[in-house]
Amino acid sequence: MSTADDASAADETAFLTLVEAVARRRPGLEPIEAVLLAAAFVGAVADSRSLAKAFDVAHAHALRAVAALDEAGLVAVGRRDARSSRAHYALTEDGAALVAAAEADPA
Amino acid sequence: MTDPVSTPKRSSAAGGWGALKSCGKHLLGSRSPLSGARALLKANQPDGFDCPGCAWGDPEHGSSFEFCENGVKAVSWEATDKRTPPKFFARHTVSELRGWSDYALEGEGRLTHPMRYDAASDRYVAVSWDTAFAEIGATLRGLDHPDQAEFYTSGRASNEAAYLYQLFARAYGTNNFPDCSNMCHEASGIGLAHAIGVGKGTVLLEDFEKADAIFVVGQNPGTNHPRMLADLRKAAERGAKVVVFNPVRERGLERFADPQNTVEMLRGASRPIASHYLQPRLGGDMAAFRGIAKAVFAADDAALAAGRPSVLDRAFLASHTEGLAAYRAAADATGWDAIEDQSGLSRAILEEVAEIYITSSKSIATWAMGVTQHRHSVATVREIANLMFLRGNIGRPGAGLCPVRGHSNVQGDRTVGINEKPPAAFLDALEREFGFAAPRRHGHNVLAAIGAMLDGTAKAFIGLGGNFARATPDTALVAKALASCELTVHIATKLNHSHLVPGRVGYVLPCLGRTEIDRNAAGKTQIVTVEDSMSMVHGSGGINKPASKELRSEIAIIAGMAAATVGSDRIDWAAMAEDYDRIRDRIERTVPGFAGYNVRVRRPRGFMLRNLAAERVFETATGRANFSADALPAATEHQVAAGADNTFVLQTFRSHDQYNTTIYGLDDRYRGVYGERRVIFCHPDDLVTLRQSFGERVDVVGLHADGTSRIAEDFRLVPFDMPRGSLAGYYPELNVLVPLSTFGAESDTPTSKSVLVTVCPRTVAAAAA
Repeated sequence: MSTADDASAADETAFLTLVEAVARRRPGLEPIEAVLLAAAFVGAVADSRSLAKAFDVAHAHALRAVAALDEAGLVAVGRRDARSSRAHYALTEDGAALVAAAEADPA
Repeated sequence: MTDPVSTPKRSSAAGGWGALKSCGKHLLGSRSPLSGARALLKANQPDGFDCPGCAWGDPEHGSSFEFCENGVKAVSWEATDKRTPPKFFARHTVSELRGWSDYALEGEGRLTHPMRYDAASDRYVAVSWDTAFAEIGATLRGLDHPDQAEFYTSGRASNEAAYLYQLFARAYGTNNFPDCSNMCHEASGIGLAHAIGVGKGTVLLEDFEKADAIFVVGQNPGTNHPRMLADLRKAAERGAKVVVFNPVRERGLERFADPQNTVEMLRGASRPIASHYLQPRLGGDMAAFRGIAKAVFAADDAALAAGRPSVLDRAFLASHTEGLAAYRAAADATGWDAIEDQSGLSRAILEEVAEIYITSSKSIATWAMGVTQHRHSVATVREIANLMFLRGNIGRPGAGLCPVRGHSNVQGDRTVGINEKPPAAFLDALEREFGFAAPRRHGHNVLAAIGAMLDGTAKAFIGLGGNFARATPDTALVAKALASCELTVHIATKLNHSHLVPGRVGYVLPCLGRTEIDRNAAGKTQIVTVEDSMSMVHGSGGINKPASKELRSEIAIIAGMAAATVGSDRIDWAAMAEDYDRIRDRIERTVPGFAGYNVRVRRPRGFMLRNLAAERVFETATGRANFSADALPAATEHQVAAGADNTFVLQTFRSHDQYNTTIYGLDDRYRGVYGERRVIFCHPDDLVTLRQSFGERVDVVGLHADGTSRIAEDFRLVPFDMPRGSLAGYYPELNVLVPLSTFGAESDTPTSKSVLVTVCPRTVAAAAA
């Protein structure tokens, strides 16, 4: 395995650990919702379509996650693309605080 | 609400957390998404989303979808921020609202609370759900007989909602199921059932990628099924012939610019679709297809005489069909003069189309309302099937019959039991499953339901979606019918004209839309399922927050009404409303073809309901595909109108900014109309004559000797490429001219594409009325 592969695997492990920590801190979160929060926190994706592509899920699945987290006050939805319903979002203070707490104490 | 934070806090943790800073780049840049996260997410998906825009098949169902123009409108319409709360109803009486246009009513936004009509104030007032269900149940129980209630279904209703609805009505004791398909593809269902043993199309989306020739009859996909245009365009690009039969020259069928193709859009370019565009007279499709078949038979005779192989698929005809000789005799007996006069097409062009058919090894025929809304529509559907049988164009890749449905689940509703003539086997299954005696007497379709309300036989109308008062013909009579009821209940997302003719007790019950996330009491999201025109059944889950916390799903509303009406001793309505998997389990046990429903519907693209005709198994009385040998109608409305002064045949159709009775806007850009809907399209030469006689704006008057005055007032004449003697305009505005008394043989579908009318100047018609 190359150094790049090692780094990639470490990234993946770290990301998954964060996702799981978020999910433990907020029971009832769907897996896609925990992934969305973690991915937004690390600055990877900030819209539903990119999330769907990055994680190979149905766009509808991603949109539902955005809607649920918006309702929960963890993300705020900005503009939407009419053609595809792509929803742009950002973490709210509560959302960022949740992920930060999970990052600080992943156990 | 807290301010959004756009920049995440930087990680300061030790032990590998720092690597997260670069993780983002990897996520976006990686060609293969994080496998671990993918595995994590696989467990609970994919629940796609079914666009409510139409019933065309969708290869991308559930994935990174892009909506077509209609889909954008449908989704945006439902996701509007506007609301029609109780205080709106407090400001406006029902009488006042009756003067509003459909567009204005829907423009007020989403209904938010259950509303009850208060006759004393002529207003709707908010009530609780429990109050609504209790009074609806009490009123239904108070009727003399269950057959005094009519249960109408719009094609938007999901399989689950439709199944629960028919269960409610049958447990109550009636088969009165007027249904939107009675007004659209009923002739397809009946005609195909006679011809091939099943009232559904036989093709899949993949067949359009293989066909050499596609015959598009009486359809305007540019407005009604935009995604179909993309499939037709791909077919044309690879060399397939696309032969269009449409009296009106629709731009979308001539050329299509793919909105997904950025270069093409930037250049304003487009590609041709139709290789041949034929403009038959209204009602002339049966004659046209008779002519094509006649030419095919002639070509076959010539081939055999010259020692060449037959152009017919003799093996298929011998093994799988019945009635060829009688059909051949009927074709021989139909003279070319009669064919040309009734179709409006020349022998030469029909022979040219026949040559296309003969030289294509795989052909598909698709059709819509231009075929199904005439008196002889069942015969026309069978004539189309006749032609396709001649070369075995059914039950093999790239070939088949394809009635294209406009509403997203109109086919599914029928499949799961919305049928006023239910098969005995289905009723037997319901009885076994639920333990009640299902009513056996056939019930009412739309026309019969209207008649029953008008003569006082029916006293209650329950509408699961839709806009019955506008979708039906003879608008004034239907309004009178609804207003005469003891009870009207409308389950709806927005206010429409049907709600403005309440019965003595009238309710409007607001429901979740297809786009909205539906959670049960435990917070678990629910999916519903639909069946498209290709018999694919797939799941759909909402993608937006509900418009109001007071909304309930159609299923929850039906369950509430059912529990209040028939009780829950035999059927646990609440349990089914709590978890739609339970409804699907019941469907699985009572409707053939749904084995493994809850598992299969969660796979990508769902599953196909087996269509035996697509496998060349024809469950008809003869066990074979049946030719029909009907004579052409003695005279179509167009032929009647041709002999009379100032007499035209009118067809109603949709604008580009509407979906059935839902008006999104006032533009019809493909036809060059902007900001208005009260227009009448006609041939330029007819327009000159009409303007000279009557001026710019006219009234259109129905010509039916039944003593009823039918006037559509104040329409602007617009020139369009269409046959002389024909007129066209938008429904529902022109439904006032469509008489209830004129309907398709066997189908009972109002003849919305063949209405005899005359044109008057504004002052003369108004004075006469």
